Amino acid sequence: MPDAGAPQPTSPTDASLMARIVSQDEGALAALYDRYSPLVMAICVRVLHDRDDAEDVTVDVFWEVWQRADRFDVNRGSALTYLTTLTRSRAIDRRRSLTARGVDRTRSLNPSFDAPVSTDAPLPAMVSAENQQLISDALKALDENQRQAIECAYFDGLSHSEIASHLNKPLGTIKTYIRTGLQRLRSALRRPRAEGETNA
Amino acid sequence: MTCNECEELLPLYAAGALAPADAERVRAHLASGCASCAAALAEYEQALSHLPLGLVPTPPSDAARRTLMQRVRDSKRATTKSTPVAVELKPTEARKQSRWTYGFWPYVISTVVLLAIGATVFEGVWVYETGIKNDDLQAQIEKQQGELQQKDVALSSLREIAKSNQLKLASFKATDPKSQARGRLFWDEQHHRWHVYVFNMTPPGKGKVLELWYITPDQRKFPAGTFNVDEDGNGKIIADLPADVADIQLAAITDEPMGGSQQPTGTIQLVSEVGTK
Repeated sequence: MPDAGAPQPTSPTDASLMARIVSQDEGALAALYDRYSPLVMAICVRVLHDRDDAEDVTVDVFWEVWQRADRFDVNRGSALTYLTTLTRSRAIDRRRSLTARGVDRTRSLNPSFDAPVSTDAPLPAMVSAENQQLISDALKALDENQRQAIECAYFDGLSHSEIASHLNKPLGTIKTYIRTGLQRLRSALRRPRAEGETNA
Repeated sequence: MTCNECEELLPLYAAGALAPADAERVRAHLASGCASCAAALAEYEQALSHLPLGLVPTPPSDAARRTLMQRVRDSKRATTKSTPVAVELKPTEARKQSRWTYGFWPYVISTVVLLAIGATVFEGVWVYETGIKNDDLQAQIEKQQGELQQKDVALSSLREIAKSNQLKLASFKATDPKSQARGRLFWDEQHHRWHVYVFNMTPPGKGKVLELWYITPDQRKFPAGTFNVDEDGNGKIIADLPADVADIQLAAITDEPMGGSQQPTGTIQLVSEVGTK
C-alpha cells in the first residue's frame, strides 16, 4: 500500500518533523502545520459543517501533536495516517459533544463551507506524483453508493443501522456497500513496493 | 468467532460502523492474537485513512496558526519558569566553602572508591531485577489497557442507553428457584437493540457458552448472540434486533455448545417477559 507521506527530495520528511517536534522544535510543528492544516481543516469541516468549530478542532489537533508527538510510531504507519486518524477522532468527539448540548451538526448550516469530496482534489504536496495517481485511481474505484455509505461511517461516525436509516436503504445493502467498497479500496491501493522504497 | 466470520466484519469494524455486540466479538478475536486478521484490519484502516485525501483542502485562517503557535510558546515559557535555576554564591559564602573543601576531598575520593567497588558487585543483581520489574510493569500496563478498553466499551453502552428516546426495562428471573442469578434488559426501541446485563450466574461448563434468544408470541425462537460471564458470574451482551421483527414476547438465556445454536438445545437459565412492541 502506498505511503502518501513520501517526501519530495528537498523537504524534510514527516517522520523527521515528528522527531523534531518531540524535541520541542517549534519550527518543525509550524512546518507540519503548514503542510497538513488544509487537509486537517477539510476533514473537520466535513465532519462539523461549521468553519469556527472546524478551526478550533484543527488547532486542537496540532496542539495534541505537539504535546504527544512521542506517541507517533513510524513503524505503525505514516504521519499522514496518524494525523488524519487523530483529526477524524477529535472532530467526531466534538460533534457528539455539540449534539449532546442540542447543537445540530448533522446537516450543513452553510453549504459553501462544506469541503466537497472530489476524485480530482489536489493531494498534499508531500504525496509523490506516483502515489497521487494511485490514490486518485483508488478513490475513483468506489461507486457512488459505496462512497456515500463509507463516508457516512467515516466522517459522520454513524453505525450501519443509522446509515441505513439516513440513506433510506436496507441494512444488508449498507453493509454490502461498506464491505465491498473498502475491499475495492484496499485492493486498488495494494501494489508491489519498488526496491529500496521505505515509509517516510 | 472464526477468521472467516471476522474477515467479513473487518471492513465494517474498520469504518466504525459495526453494532457494539459485533464490534466486541471482533475485538475479542483480534485480542486473541490472530495475526492475519490484525494485518487485514491494518490494511483496511490504511485504506480508510486515504479517504480524506478526496476532500478539497481548506486552509484555516491565519488567526488559527497564530493561536496554535502562541499556545506553544506560552507552554514553553511556563516550562522554563519551573526549571530550577543554579544559585550563585556570594563572596563570603564562597570562601567558607573553599576552606571546607580542601579538607574534605580525600574523604570524598576514598568514599567514592569504596562505593564503586560495592556498586560493581550489586550492579548485576540490580540490572536483572530492573529487567524483571520492567517486564512486570509492561505486563501490568497491557493488562490495564485491556481493562480500560473494556470499560470504554461498557461506558459507551451505558451512554447509548441513556441517550435513547424509547427505552424499556425488563427483569430476568431464574428458572431454577434456588439460583441467585438475575438480569436486566434495556430495550432501546429507537435503535432496535437490547443491552442485557446478568449477575450471579453459574458459568457454563467447559465447551459451552451462554446464548440470548428473543421469542415471539407464537413461540418461535431466534438467536440473538452468545456471551460468557466472569468468575463472579457477571456478564453482558448487546444484541441488535431486526428492524422488521414482529412482536417479541420473551427474552431467554440458555447454555449452548461453544459457537451457539440456531435453536435452543440447553437449559433455560434466565427468562424475561419483555411484552409486545
